[in-house]
Amino acid sequence: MNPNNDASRLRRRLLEEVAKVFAGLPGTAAPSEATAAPEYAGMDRIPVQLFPRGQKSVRCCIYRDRAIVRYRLMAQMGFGIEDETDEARLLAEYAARARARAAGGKVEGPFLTVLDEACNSCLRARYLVTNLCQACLARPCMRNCPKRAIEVDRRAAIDEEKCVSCGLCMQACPYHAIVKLAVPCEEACPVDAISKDESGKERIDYAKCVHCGRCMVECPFSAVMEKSQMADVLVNLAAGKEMVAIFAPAIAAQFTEGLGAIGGALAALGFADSYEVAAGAEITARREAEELAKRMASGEGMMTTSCCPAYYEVVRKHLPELAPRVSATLSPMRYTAELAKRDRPGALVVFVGPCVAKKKEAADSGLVDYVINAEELGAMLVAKGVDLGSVAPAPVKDLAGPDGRGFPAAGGVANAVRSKLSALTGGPGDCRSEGVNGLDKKGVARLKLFAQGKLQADLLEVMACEGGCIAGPAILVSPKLAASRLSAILEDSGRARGQ
Amino acid sequence: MVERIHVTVCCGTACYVLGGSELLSLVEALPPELRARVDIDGAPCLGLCKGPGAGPRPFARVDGGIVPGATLDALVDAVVARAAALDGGLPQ
Repeated sequence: MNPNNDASRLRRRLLEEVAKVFAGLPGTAAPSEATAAPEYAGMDRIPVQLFPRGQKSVRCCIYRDRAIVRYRLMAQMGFGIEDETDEARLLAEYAARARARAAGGKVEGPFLTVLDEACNSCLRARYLVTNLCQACLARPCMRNCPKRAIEVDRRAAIDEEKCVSCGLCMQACPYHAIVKLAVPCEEACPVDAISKDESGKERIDYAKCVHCGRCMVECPFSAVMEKSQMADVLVNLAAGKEMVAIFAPAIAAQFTEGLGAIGGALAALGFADSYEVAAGAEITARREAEELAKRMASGEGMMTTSCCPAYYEVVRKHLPELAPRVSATLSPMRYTAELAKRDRPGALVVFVGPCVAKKKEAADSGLVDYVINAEELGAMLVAKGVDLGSVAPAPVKDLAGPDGRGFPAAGGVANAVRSKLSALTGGPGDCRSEGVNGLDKKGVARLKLFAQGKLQADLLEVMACEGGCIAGPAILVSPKLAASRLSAILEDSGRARGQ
Repeated sequence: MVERIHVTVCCGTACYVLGGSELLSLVEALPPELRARVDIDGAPCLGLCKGPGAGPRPFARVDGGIVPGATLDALVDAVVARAAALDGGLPQ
């Protein structure tokens, strides 16, 4: 789905309002007891502000719209909807709890939450015969069904017990009379981790979930949301804590104004320093090249890239046989966090990226304190009135070259590793390089073929998002636009290096 | 002589993050017969979002007219309407 749609606009508007409330908080120590204080009262006004009386409703009525907004705001303050114990609790009280949490606690995973009130309870996914059926003489649906699940009596009927959802009947029907009823989140999930509970609402099985965020992107009702850490970041910034932002190369491709403006905007938000994660990507690429050279020399066989955290979760939870193949090299986020901690050991490190799974990786790493996404960065900028076009530029530390900056597009990581391999060996950097571009259900199936040795490579680049991180689940601009920005960035950095 | 139509898209951050980034690709969304007639550029923050009662972001301008809550569809409609107004005002 295009990242700019009505659902994302509503989500971003709400994030802006949340950011305004938290940015306006006085920077004093957090209260020992979480209580609803007057400064948070604004939170409870947001649902009404967005859907005032007389406004055209999106759902059945503005009251339902408001109720759902309340749950969105909970998630945007870092609370899981599944954990709600008191329906009558004010948003102001959640805000107070978020603020108390920011003083030392963390938003706990899992980081995706389903808003059951927003869930449409889509009809169960299946094939359905419509009244376009002519009950024709040829009966291709019946004859092509491998399970003999179709009978025709005035109209074709599918026996749900026998149907295996192969879709051959739909393909065979000359009248296009058979349709597929899809449940977008279930269809998007690569590991079958989201399904209906007994009431028809979707539930995530967190034992299977890999935090790729595809369900969140594909739900047309935006009923799956991230538990945001933005409030925690804003509270700590307001309290004057020493904080450093490290931003993913995909973030650089979200804006037109260049690195200096991004550095300036992060400084205006209150970050002491900012680093491009592309600098860490240079280290990742170099170490992966060294590892690859060793593996190729010793005949150990295929190595896969390791920087995509959703891919890593797929391996951990669903394809453990692939684990020895995953490069032991750390991700660009971790190397960049190390650079930041080297310069400012006491600082809180905030990763800014396009990714949901990075939240899981950050929580596991112990190196990165908070993760915010592109939408949340945008909301913080708007709330604080920071405009990239007019902000005073500020330098970004540890600048990268085109190899590191090319990481967020599919093929970019493999390119960088080959480039470093070439530098390492003094040769052309030849290796058999393959890619799995997007871990949808088909991508996971392809990955399995590599795991079983039916497909082979020396270097396998795996990107959970088709197109790479610039097509991540939490972005501001269309991947097409980001790709053209990225090409311009790479051209510039190539030129700078050539000088 | 066909009068040209000038579209200015606000590229201030506040508009940009609410979907303004899409609007610069307007030319591809225009009806083919209008494409050569329209100039599109991005401008630094136009200031249209400031103050009470400001309409929804993102903003764009089609010649003098302001388009609040701009989407590609809304901009195409505004350009088509502008073209019709200009052409209607010309002698046949």
